[in-house]
Amino acid sequence: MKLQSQSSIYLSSFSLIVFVLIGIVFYSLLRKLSNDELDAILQEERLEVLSNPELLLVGNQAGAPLFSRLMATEITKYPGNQEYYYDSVGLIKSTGEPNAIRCLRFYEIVQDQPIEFILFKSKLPAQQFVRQIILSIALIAGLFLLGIYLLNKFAFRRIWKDFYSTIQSLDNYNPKQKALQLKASRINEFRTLNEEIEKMTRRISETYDNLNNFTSHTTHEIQTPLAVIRLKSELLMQTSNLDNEQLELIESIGDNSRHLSQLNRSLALLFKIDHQHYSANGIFHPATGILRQLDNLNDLIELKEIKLTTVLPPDISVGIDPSLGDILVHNLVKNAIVHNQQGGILDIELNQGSLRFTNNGAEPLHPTDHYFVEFIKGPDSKGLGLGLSLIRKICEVSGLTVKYTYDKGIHQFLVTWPEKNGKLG
Amino acid sequence: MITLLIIEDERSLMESMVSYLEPSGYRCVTAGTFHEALRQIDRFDYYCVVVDLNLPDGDGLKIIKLLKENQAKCGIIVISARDTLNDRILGLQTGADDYLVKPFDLSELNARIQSVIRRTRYTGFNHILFRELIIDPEGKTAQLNGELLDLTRKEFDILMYLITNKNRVITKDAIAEHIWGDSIYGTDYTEMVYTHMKNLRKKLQQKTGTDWIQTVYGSGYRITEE
Repeated sequence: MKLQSQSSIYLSSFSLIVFVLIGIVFYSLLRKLSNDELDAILQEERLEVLSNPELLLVGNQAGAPLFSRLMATEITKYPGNQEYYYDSVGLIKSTGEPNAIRCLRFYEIVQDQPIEFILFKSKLPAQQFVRQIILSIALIAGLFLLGIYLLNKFAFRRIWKDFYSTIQSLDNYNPKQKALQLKASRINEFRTLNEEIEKMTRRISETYDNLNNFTSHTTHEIQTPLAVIRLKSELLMQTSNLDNEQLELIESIGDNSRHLSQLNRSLALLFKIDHQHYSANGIFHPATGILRQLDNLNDLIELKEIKLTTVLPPDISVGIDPSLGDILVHNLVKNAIVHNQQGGILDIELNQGSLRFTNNGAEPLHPTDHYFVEFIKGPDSKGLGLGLSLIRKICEVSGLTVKYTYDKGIHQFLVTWPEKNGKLG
Repeated sequence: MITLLIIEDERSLMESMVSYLEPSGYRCVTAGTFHEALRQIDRFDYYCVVVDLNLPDGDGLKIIKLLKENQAKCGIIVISARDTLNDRILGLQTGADDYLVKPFDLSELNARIQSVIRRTRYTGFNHILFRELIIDPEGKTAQLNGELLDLTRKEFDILMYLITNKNRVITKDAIAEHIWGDSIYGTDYTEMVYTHMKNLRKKLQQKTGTDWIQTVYGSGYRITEE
C-alpha cells in the first residue's frame, strides 16, 4: 500500500472518530441545556399556577382549563411537597401526531383537597434546534475530511518529493557506478537519509572496486605459478630412469595443474562476463558455432554412438557478442554430448528466436532449476561444474532466456531470444 | 644454428622453456625485461621470438612492432595469460604469427615454434624427414619408402606432434589439447586419444614392421629415432 493511501486512511479514521465523539458530547450537552431551559419555564408556570389556584379550579370546573398545558387530578393523599421533571410523549392537538414533551409533576392542597398537577411543554422547537446544530457539525466534519484528503494529496507530494527521488536513485543504483549523488533536501530527516545513503553507496562502490581488482588480479596472477608447475612437471617427465610410480605421480601433478588452470580460466571468464567486459551487441550465427563444435567433438559423438539430428539454418542470427555466443553454443553442445548416454540421441534445432538441445542422459541428481543457480558437478564428471553457470551468465547478460527441463530420460535446453534480437543476415 | 629469443619476465618459466628447447637443437637467447629484450633484438638473426605481453617495464606488443620493422623473416609467438578473443586478435594484428595462452605444454610450444619457422623461413618444398618417413606438413601427408600412409587428419596431426617432440614423453592430456583444443576439457578424452593412437601405431607397424611409438606407463607416449 502506498504511503499516501496509508496516511489518508489513518487521518480519515481518526478524524471520523473525533467528529463522532464531538457530536455525541455536543448532542448530550444541547439536550441537557434545552431540558434545563424547559424545566425553568415549567417551574415558572408552576409558580403562576400556584399563585392563582382559584382560576385553575374555576377553569377546571368549566371544563375549559385556562392553562392548556396543565393537567390537574384530585388525589386522596397528599404525598408532600414533591416535584419531578420527566420526559414523555403527547399528541399534537392539531395533527394528532406524537410529540416529545417535558413534564413537571407536583402536588398541592387546594381548598383542603390534595391535587396532583402535571405541567408539560412541547420539546419540538428545542429538538429542531439540536438537529440543526448536529447537521452543522456533520457538514463541518465532511468539509474537514475533504480538506484533509486534498491536503494530503497535494502537500504530501510536495513534502515527500525528495524521498521519492531518493528511492528512484536507489532503484537505478548499480555498484559498478560511482557513489550516489543525491539532491539536497530542505527537510532535515530526508537530508540525513540522503547523506547516509551517499556514504553507504560510496562504501559499496569502493568494496566492489576492491573486489573487482582483487579477483581480476588473482585470476591473472595465479596463471603464472600454474604455468610453472605444468612446465616443471613436463620437464621432470623427460628425465631418465623414472619408475612407474614416479611417472604416475608426475602425471597426476600435471593433470591437476591443468584442471586448476582450466577452473581458474572459467572463473575469470564468468567474472569478465559479469563485469561486462563484453559488448552488449553484435551478430552471432549459432549454426556456424554449433557445427564447428560438433566437428571438434566428432570423435566423442562416434565413440558414444550418439544419434545426431540437426536443423541449423545458417541465416539465423542472434544479436549478441560473437565470442560469448561461441562460448554459449560450445558449452551447450559439449554438455549435450558429455552427459549423453551410449547410443543416445542428440537433436539440435535452431529456429527464428529459439535454439533447442534435446538429448538422452541419466536423471539429474538435483531439480533442474538448481543447476543454473549453483555450481553443481556430477559425481563422475570430468568437468568443472561451471558449464551451466557460463550458459546462464551469458544468457543473462545478453538478454536471452534459458530453460532446462528433464522428463523421462530426456534432457532439454531451450534458449530463446526476442525476435527483434535475431536478424536475418 | 637456429636461434630463438625468449622474452619472459618469470625466470622459472623462462628456464623451463630453455631446458626443453635447447636439447631440440635451438640456441636460446633470453630477456627478462622489455629493455633487455630491446638490447637482444639486434644481436642475432632470430628464427623465432617467443614474447610475453606482460613485461614489468614495457608492453610486449611494442616489441612485436619493432621486430616486424627490423626482422621481417622472424616468426613471433605471443605467450600470454590474457585469453580473450580480443587479446588474441590484437596480438595477431600487431604482427604475431601465433598466440599461446598460459599455461601451455612445452611440447605445444615446441610444435608451434617449428610450425612458425616452417611458415616464415621455408617456401616451396618443406619436407620433414624422420627415420624412413617423409612428411609434408602442408599437404598433411606422410610417405614411407615412397608409399603414402593412409592416415586420417587427426592421426597425421598426432604423428606430426610426436615427431616434432621426438624422444620426449608426450602426455595424453597434451595430445588431446593439441588435437581438440580447449573445448576438449571436461570430456573423457582418454579413450579418444587411445583409439587414434592405436590406429596410428597399427598403420605405422604394418608398413615398418616395428612399433616406433612407446607407451610410457601411466602418462603418455614417446616416438624414438632408434
